Amino acid sequence: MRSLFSKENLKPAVILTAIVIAVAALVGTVNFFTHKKSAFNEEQKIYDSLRVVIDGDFKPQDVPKGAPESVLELFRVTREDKLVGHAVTLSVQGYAGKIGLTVGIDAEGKVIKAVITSQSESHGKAGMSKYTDNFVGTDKDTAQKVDTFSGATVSSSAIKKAIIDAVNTVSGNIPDNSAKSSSQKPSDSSNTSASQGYSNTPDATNTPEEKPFKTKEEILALASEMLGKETALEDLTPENAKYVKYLFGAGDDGYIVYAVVISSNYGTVETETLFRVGNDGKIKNVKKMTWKTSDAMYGYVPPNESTVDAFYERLIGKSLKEISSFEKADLVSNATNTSGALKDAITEGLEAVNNIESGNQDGFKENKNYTARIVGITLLAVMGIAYAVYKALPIIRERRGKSGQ
Amino acid sequence: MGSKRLSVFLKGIIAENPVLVLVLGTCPALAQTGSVVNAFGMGIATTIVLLSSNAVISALRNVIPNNVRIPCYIVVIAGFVTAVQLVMRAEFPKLYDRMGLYLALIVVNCIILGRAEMYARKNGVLDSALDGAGMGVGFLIALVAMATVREVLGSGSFAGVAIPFLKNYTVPLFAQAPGGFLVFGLLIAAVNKIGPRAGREKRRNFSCSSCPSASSCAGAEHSSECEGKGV
Repeated sequence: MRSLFSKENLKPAVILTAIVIAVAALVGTVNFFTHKKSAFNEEQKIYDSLRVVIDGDFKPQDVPKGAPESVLELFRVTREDKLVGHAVTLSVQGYAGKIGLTVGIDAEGKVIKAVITSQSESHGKAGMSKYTDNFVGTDKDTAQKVDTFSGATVSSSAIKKAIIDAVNTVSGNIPDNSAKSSSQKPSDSSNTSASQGYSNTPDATNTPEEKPFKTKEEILALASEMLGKETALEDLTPENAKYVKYLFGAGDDGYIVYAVVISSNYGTVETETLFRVGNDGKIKNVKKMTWKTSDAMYGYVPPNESTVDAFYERLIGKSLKEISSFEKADLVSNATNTSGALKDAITEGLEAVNNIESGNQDGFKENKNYTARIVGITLLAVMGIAYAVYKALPIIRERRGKSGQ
Repeated sequence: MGSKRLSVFLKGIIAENPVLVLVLGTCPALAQTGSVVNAFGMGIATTIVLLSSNAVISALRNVIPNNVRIPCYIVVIAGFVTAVQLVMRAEFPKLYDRMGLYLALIVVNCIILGRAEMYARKNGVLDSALDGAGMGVGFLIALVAMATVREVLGSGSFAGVAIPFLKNYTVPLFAQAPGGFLVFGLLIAAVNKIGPRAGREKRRNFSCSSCPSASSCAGAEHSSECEGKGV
């Protein structure tokens, strides 16, 4: 039996080891010549970001005790020996990794600018650099009210938390639990609203005493209130509708639609909506009504009145075609499920109105996806060209062969 | 001799293009062709690694024992990839950030190990370096061609510069994976039809003699045993 330490066994091991050492020496040599420049580039990136967020002379300061873990460095910024503000560098956990930020804060504790210095997020990359612009001019109170954006809720929540941490650190307002808002867990027993699946913010329109879904008489009364006059309303409620409970014709004033969602494609949501559609098929008024949602179950900041209000405002003047082509990014962050459910309900209501207008049971079934048409036409064109080339090539080669003879 | 060396370099560009003819390195070919800048960076980095690793492996071909040749090749390739990464991080930090993980994945790009195994260990240093350079340039051209189509049609821009009249007529499919596969397939078809191998009879047997890399393949040593057996 061949010994383990025989020449046949040792030679490959020695050669492999020698190659490893040589390669390691090569890498070490390259690193020796480049590490300073790389470190400089990293520092330059952060330095450039400091200059972008606030201008002046930077003096590093100790990060206060008890400051949030996300705060890495704190700088006092002066201009001609006068305090102009502070700059804070932070690192927070995003969706797919750490997000690095630099925040500039003026002497009054308001955000001047925030820039993202590093991130490896997979969602919402394009919007993140613009998202930080929403915090310009906010302080420790108003920064809380900035919405995150749908499609990248975790990433934008992390950025929001980081900026709030920066502002709190500078203003000396270091909360006991600075991570409370974006890391609420459904199992947190102190958060009864999350465990019940209700949004329960103080200024929400949803109050436990209010019965969410209205009777016909109540809707007729609300419709008159919306129209601003007593008008005879024709009951045109469609059969077999999933969300539309009542649809009334109001003559020249258009249509009044009341739709209710019990559960939707967007999760466990209970909501109702009353809106007026003009005879041109566009939404004229939307009445704010009650809603209950399980958004809070996912550990995000629960939706509040202003969050859902933002979605209502987007609906005014929109037609069926525009609303049915709303993508996730058009919904409202922190109320994605609620706004998604409202979108479904309103889309069905507009379809019902279109059915009535056209006298056609199918209504106006818009082709919402022009991209599919363009791709289809492009593919057909490419296939046609490829077929033509395939047929023409033998003829060309034959002619070349003849001319070469 | 000069024309032979030139043909060694040129064959990697069209006749044996690693991406469009040999169909190797499809992972970076699809992942880094969403943008012309990324494609160019990936092509240049791969070319440098190919050239260097082929030259070194060829220089060590009589030293490396057969039974540990693959680990040795991987170590050499990984060393050069790491060196390229370090240089890129120092000199081109923005490109380095854009390329991300795919720079390190050049180590497992089968073009590099494939050429080391099929050519560098059987040929001289200069020929191997030229082969590596040719394959790298062919890889670069293929990636840039794919990226041009995908970025122009998918994003309405070229190398990050927006094309004004295409801004509202983009087909986002091309910027995503399905579009990448589509463009890849169409380019392969085009090269098969227009390239030097066009007009050849369709392969009926898959023995070594019908393989474009037979002349430099280690398995070709046994090809006479397999000839006509459909192996």
